[in-house]
Amino acid sequence: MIILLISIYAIIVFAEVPGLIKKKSWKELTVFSVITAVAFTISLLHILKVEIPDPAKDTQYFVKSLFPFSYD
Amino acid sequence: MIMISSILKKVRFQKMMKQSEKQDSKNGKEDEQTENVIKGNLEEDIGTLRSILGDSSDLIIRKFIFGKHIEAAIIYIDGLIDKTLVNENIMKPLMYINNLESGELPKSIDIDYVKSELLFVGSIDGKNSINEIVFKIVSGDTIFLMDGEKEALVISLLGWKTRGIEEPKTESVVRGPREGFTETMRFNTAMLRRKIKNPDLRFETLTIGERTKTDVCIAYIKGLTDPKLIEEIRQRLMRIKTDAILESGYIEQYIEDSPFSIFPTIANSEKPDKVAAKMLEGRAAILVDGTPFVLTVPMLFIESFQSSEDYYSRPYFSSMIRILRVIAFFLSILAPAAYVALSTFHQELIPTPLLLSMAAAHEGVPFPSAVEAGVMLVFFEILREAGVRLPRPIGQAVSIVGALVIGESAVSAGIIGAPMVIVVAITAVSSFAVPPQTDSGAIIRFVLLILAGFMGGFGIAIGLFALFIHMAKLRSFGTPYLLPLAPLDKSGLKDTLVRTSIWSLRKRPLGMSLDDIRQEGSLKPSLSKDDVNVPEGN
Amino acid sequence: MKLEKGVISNTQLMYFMLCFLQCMVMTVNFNYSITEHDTWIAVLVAYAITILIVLVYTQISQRLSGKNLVQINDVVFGPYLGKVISVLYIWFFLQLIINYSYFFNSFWVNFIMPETPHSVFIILLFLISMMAVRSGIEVIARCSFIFSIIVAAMIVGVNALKIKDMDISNFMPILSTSPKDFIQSVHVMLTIPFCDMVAFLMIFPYTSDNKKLRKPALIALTMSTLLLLVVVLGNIAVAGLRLTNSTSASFAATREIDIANVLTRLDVLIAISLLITVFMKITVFFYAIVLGIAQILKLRSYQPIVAPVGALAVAVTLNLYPSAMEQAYAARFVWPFNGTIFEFFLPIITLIIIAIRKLPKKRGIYE
Repeated sequence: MIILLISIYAIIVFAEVPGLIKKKSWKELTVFSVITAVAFTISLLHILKVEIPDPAKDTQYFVKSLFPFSYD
Repeated sequence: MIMISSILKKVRFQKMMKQSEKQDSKNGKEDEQTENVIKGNLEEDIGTLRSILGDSSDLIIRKFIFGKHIEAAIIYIDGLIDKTLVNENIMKPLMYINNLESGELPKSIDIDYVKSELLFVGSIDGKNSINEIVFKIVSGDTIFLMDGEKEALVISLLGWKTRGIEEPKTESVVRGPREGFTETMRFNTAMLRRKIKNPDLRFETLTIGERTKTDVCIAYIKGLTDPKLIEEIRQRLMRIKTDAILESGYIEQYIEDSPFSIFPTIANSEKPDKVAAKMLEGRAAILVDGTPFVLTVPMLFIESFQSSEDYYSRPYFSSMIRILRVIAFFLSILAPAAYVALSTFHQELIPTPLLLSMAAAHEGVPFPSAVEAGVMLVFFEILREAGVRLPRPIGQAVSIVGALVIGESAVSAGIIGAPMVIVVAITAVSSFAVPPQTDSGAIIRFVLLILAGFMGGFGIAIGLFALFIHMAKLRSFGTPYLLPLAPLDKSGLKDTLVRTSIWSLRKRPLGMSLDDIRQEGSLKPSLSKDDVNVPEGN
Repeated sequence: MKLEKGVISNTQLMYFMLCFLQCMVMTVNFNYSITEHDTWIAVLVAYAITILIVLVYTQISQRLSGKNLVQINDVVFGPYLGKVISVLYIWFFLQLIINYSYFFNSFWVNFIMPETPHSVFIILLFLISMMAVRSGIEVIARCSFIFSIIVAAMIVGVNALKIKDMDISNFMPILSTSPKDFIQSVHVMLTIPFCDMVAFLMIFPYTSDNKKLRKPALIALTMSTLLLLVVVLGNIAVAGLRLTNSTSASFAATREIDIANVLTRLDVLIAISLLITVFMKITVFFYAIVLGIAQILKLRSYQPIVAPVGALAVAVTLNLYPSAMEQAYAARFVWPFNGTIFEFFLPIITLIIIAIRKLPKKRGIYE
């Protein structure tokens, strides 16, 4: 499973990075690497069955708590 | 934006200028190196030509004397010229002058006199560059050299053996003209001219190929075809720097928009009526000397489902045939994949009685159905290939053996299930219903089969999705590949799945022609006003 | 420097929005458990409110024509607060993507192919979505016409086959739900399928006529609502109160179709239309996200970040809810508040500020 994950990310990196380096678009490369690193970490932790808080879910519940009323 | 585009234009222009300068200087150099002009000394000139052309056995150099003392020679390639014409129209008048009464002989016979008064030939031209002359010789022209003259006459008396005009084998019709293009470009342009008798029909010839010097001709109707399209074709053709062009397929691969796509973005046809019809829709045709296949651009995906006969028969039937072709195309790409997906992933979707008989047939078959389908499809492709390439009698034998082995023995031996044979047979038959997409269909079929083998219906759906997005992205010379459907063109829809009557197709397909309107007003057939009712009983 | 060079015609925009909105046919499942057989009235009320909201969206885009959401935020809220709001919007779109793909995934896993690993569906869906986003807005818009026709034909066809199982008495008694439930249902319906049209604020500027957005938007809204009504009325008439127990009502109702033992299990058609509509939703949000990120960070093109954002979305989706039931709970009780801020409050505030500051400012003669 981990090998599969790494190979998928390797494909993404090999498909995009050479072109970015050739075009000298360093800013794009930085953004690319940051997002890829975050995504890789999350999916690795998911595969290793490490419990991590899900930011998307937490935001929802946080926003809900801002409102003075609720339905339940 | 305007600034940027104007700057870009300037840069491009300068680049072009530089390139043309470079080419000029290159040509100039060559001229200097070999000093390629006719010197005026017959022996020396013949020597030069011979040194360039070598001792080819088909090179004929015939020296003779006319007008009592003038040495001359004609040079041609045997087999490319019409010998009777050369004898009658060049040799005879020149030799005959010897026997004339001396009074009628002008004092000085120079090359202009020969050209204007002696030779009985229509197409004649003076040239003095050796390179050009050599090129003319190998193209089949006859060269007339005269001692003491610094000019040679290039006489066009072409005559080589050609195939006659026959019915094309790839596109036979029940109704419609039966003539097909031939290998000689001149005949092909003439056939187009006979279809479109219009002064605006233009042919633009380029020579491509360092060694083959193949004539490539862009045909279009001025005022109808977008000049930008013609310019684009010209640019792409001029970019080809190769040594050989032997068939229009070479050109196709050099100029197509997306060389990595499995779909063809350039159409080809062997039929003059089809090509003429496409040109009248605003497309341009590319004729290549030496092949009967004429390219037309831009190509839309829907063209694969259209045939010239659709327009010759009445709308109901041709619409039905169109729909059948579309169904056949989908069957040919989907049938094996759908069978595999249904039988391995979604058995619950099959009605129970059918499922039972399918299960019974599959009983004892050692392979999973994806493998079974793959093997059968590969075997079918082999059979097809063998049948096409072999001489006809042997080809038939091959197909009989193949059919027997697959159809009978494999099933009765229990290696392959009978439903699979049916599915593959359906696929095979329907794959020939849409000839332009047969090649791409074969590839799509295998890809979908693999996807179905892994993920069932979801895999097929995803595969079709990806295919559709890819096709929506494709362009053929600037025109979107899926044109009347995506982007939507309402008037274009009249000629897609359903072909409405000829008189209702008032507009040409979108975005290709300068003049969209094909015919003004409604031309629906109706009784003319002074039509008298014939009394009954007559 | 323009990030998106493509231009789509306003007719294309209409089909685009139609295909985007058709997904409401699937997400309406969340409502059945709240308003039961009165859901169709909730649909009508939600439709009426959405017209107003759509007018707000189109008005914003028409006032500041040629500017997408990120640029609008910059103009309206100033460069710093505007950036913050844009980032929040991107985060909102990411949540939408994740929720939709989770919805899609749980459906396929639960109903069609239970044995396949969960990640396969999402990864493949995102692969084709990435392919579409990388090809640009023109290609996505081109696909939408055929997709919307296919979906509409499937849905109408399936519902026509249900006619013989329908029973009018299932609608009775009309309006028996409590007002609180009714408001909740309308709220859920507004925030989930209807008003995530806010993502089109990223797409409006790439139409050929920026000033005539109202017509395509309203036609698309009306047509998709009609389709939704067909489905909702059909489902209620067939299944009645049983709807409340099912996580996917259309699917369950379609399963019951059986015509001469040949046309059975047409639920596959529902599954395919789900695939198409969710694909469109995801692609639009995906496009909005990558374009937004590229614009905020002033990148030269958005293509390089398509794959990482897709990978991120897949990773987060797989991690989201423990089960489809929790998503159903979140959709009913949590999400509406989240959507309210981004779909109602912020656009209305934006429009008010535009009106007060009389944007766009007339440019000086010398400019």
